[in-house]
Amino acid sequence: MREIFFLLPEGILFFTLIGMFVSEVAYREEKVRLVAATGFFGIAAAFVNAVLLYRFGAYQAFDRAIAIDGLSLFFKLFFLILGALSLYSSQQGREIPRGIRSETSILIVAGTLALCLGSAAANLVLIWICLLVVNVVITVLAGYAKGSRFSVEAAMKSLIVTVVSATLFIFAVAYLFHLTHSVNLFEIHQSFQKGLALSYRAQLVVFMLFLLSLGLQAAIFPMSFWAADVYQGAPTNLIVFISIGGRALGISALIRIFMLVFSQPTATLEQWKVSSAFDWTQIVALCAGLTMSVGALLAVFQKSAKRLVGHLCVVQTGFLLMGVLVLDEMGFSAVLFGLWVDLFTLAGVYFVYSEMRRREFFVLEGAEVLKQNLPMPERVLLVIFLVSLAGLPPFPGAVSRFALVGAAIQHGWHFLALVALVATTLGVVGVLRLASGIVLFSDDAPGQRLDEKRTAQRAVTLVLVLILVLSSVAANPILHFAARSLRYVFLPTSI
Amino acid sequence: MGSHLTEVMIFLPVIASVFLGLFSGVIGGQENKITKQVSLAASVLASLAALILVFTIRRGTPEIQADEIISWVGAYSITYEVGVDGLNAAMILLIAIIFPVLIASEWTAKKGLVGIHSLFLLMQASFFGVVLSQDLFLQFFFLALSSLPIHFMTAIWGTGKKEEAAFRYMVVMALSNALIFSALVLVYYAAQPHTFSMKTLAAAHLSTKVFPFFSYDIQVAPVSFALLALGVAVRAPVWPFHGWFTRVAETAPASVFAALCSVNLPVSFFLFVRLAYTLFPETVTQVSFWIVVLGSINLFVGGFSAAGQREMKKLIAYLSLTGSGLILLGIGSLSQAGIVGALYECLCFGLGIAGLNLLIGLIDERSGKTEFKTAEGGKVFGGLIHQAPYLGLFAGIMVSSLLGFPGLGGFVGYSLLVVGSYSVNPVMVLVLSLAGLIVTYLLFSAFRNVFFGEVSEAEMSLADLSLREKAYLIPLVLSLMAFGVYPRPLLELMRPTAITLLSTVK
Repeated sequence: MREIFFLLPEGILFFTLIGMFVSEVAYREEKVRLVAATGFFGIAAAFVNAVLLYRFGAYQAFDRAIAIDGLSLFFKLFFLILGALSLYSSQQGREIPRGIRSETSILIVAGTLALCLGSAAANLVLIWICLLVVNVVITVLAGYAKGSRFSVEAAMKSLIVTVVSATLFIFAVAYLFHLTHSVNLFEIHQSFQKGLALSYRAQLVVFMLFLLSLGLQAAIFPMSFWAADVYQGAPTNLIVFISIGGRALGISALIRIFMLVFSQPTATLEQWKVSSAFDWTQIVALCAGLTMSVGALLAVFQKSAKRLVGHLCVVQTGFLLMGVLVLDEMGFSAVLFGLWVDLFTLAGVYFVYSEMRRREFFVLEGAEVLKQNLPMPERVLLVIFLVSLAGLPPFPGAVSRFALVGAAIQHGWHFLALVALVATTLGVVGVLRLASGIVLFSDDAPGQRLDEKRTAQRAVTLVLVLILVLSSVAANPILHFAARSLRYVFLPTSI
Repeated sequence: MGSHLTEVMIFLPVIASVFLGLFSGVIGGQENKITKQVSLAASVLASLAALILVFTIRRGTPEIQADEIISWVGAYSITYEVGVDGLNAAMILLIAIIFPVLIASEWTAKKGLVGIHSLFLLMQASFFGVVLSQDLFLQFFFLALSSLPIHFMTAIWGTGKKEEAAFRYMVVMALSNALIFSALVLVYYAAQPHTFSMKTLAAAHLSTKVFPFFSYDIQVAPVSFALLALGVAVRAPVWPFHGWFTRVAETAPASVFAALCSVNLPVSFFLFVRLAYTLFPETVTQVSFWIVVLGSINLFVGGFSAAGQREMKKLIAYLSLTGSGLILLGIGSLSQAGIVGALYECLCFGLGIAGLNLLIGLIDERSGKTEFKTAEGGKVFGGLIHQAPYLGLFAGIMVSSLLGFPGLGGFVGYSLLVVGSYSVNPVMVLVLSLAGLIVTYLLFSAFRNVFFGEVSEAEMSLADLSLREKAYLIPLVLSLMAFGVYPRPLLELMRPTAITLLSTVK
């Protein structure tokens, strides 16, 4: 009973999903609003429940397959907010006809359920299943603009990523099971603590398989080239879920697997160390550096606004990796803070993007721009979100970047910190180029004026800006909360 | 009360800017009227708070006053720490005087009035933040924020190849920010415990700190100083990093370029003085000669380049380079008079160049031209003083201040620089004098070409300054006169802090 209690957020989401199916089938004219409304209520209820779970401390449920700890609760809240924002975004824009938006709503809630479960899973097979479900949802969502060849292409690429990532992951799980006779991360960790030693080659193979698989998931170089294509082709109002959900789950799985399988705690509570026969942090550092630099270089030369933001997402993944490889509480809390900032920044960018009329979106060709009808308040809001994405003050992106760079410097990764600063500079150039293009060339073209009132949409976008500003002002409490979330990741036994 | 005044200085313009940017659309048909009223009121109130602050703090002490410390990101020891001392008092006055003038000068902008006023308010708040900050991260935060508005203002309201100029500006600022941020991060991690507080870092003896980099032990102080110096040189600008500056001069609106020359340049040098003397005094001592050499090069390059110009905006751009040179001479002099002179010159140069920029903008608006000499050497304008006597009068006052004529602020700054330089090396006085001669010649030639001589037929319809234009230029003129006739209060405020700074060097 207690175990079911700890999985109540997921249970609420599951029943919400059933309710949404019923709404989809049973209602005709009202289904568009009812399905989305059901989804919102379900996510809100799950969110409240997840917040309350913090009171109960750490727990392992279902034969230690599910870890209810600070890390999983942080990601649950994160994914629930993502689900709500994605659900809202899916109801806006013009690329998906109104009649089928309920289908995307159901897919988003299903994906959110898989994300929440995946972030709490300590069983590798369960993690694999959740990754697969999320990727399938992303694939279907990416191809939802059926008339667009870009959307079909995005779905195909996402499918390939799904298949390859899942294959590599299950291979890693199978091999690890062969070596340790367990698929439970806590049991595997305990085995290593008790003296089980794997050969250098075995550890390297397992690590590389996990890195490649989760690297594809999280868009880490050299497995990152699909990201810009998928983010460009997918329907704009669905990219919030596509760009953040898959990557964040990859990062969450990466943290848990790398900490439990390839690291161990030290005498200091806030510090971990490499426990494998080889120093995997060097490999991760190389990936992080290349992800940041290649992503930033590609971003600078982009002519498509969606691709540019896609490459900046890849750059941000590189930054987050920096926080992972330092293996201390400050680094991990910086990662979680970075994800938090990313969530609202990217949601804001894509909210405004989805208001653009044209499907072939906002291409910069030298000084000429396909004219887009975007009112001034939306332009200002978009510039604010892009500036935050670039990591410029006064937005929390600057604090997040500093925290991540600082973590790298503190642990001696000076060259990586230098690469990070260069990547930030290039990212700023790319973003400001896009921002000035948006402000300069978004004129009201005759006959394309937006007539409908957009007060509600603007209010929601303003709320996102407010959250970003508050996150900057109140960065310390959020960092503190993130640090606390990491305290109980290692649990030798269930309570 | 002082800490509340700093809050008004920083947050009131931000709140007004946000209000204008987001809510002016819902006000309806009165948008432009409300924009003008709100922006000017916010800017003037913030400036009044600044003036009250500067004139009510205690003189004769180097202590930080009206300080406010609030923990911001405690995990990284980042605090919201602001305060006033003799060093930033001059910059506070400069910002307080300039920005209401710039906002008032953009009164009749036809397109995007809300945008330009919002951005000016944001700039005012961020520059106030830069000069008031006593925490390095907070200072960088405001510095990075201050670079954004000019990019958009140039790109949107500029003329000619504005996108290219805005792009160059953006690249340069991004590079400058990256360099300065690198320096700050190095300093942060060198200090134990890690902190961004300038007061704590001043006592951290950074010259003894090293950090490992690829198995080499690198000294923190010289590397951080070099990064900081490079970042400021790119930003200010200083030769040879001035190429972007002349592009922006050609394309940016007059008020925007005025903000760049008269605020961004002095504040960049103020930042350098504050950080270099506080954190790296030993390094400053070692490189002071080269700072002076660089200043001299800037003086001559700026002077000779300006002398060859036919276009007023580019003339101002190269004049700004000579201003950079003068200020660098004072910074590198390692003398009390030199440092005080450099900061005083920042203030008076800023006021003078702002006025001159705005007047050139008015000439451009009325005549559509900014060239004052044809390619063959003939005059484009002539005898403007007859059609527009007030225009000529105000321009004459600005030019006189820039040339260091007695009775105006420029004279005090220039004199202090000469005195400060002499105590270091008498040869520097010769350099200053030669540079002064070049600048005098070029400015007087340009002024004579434009305002005196025979009346050019094409300029018969050039209107004189309106009442509104006189109203917003008068504060500049009166300030220059006040700082020239009665510099004592400000000098008394600046001297103790300069002495304290130099005590760490010597």
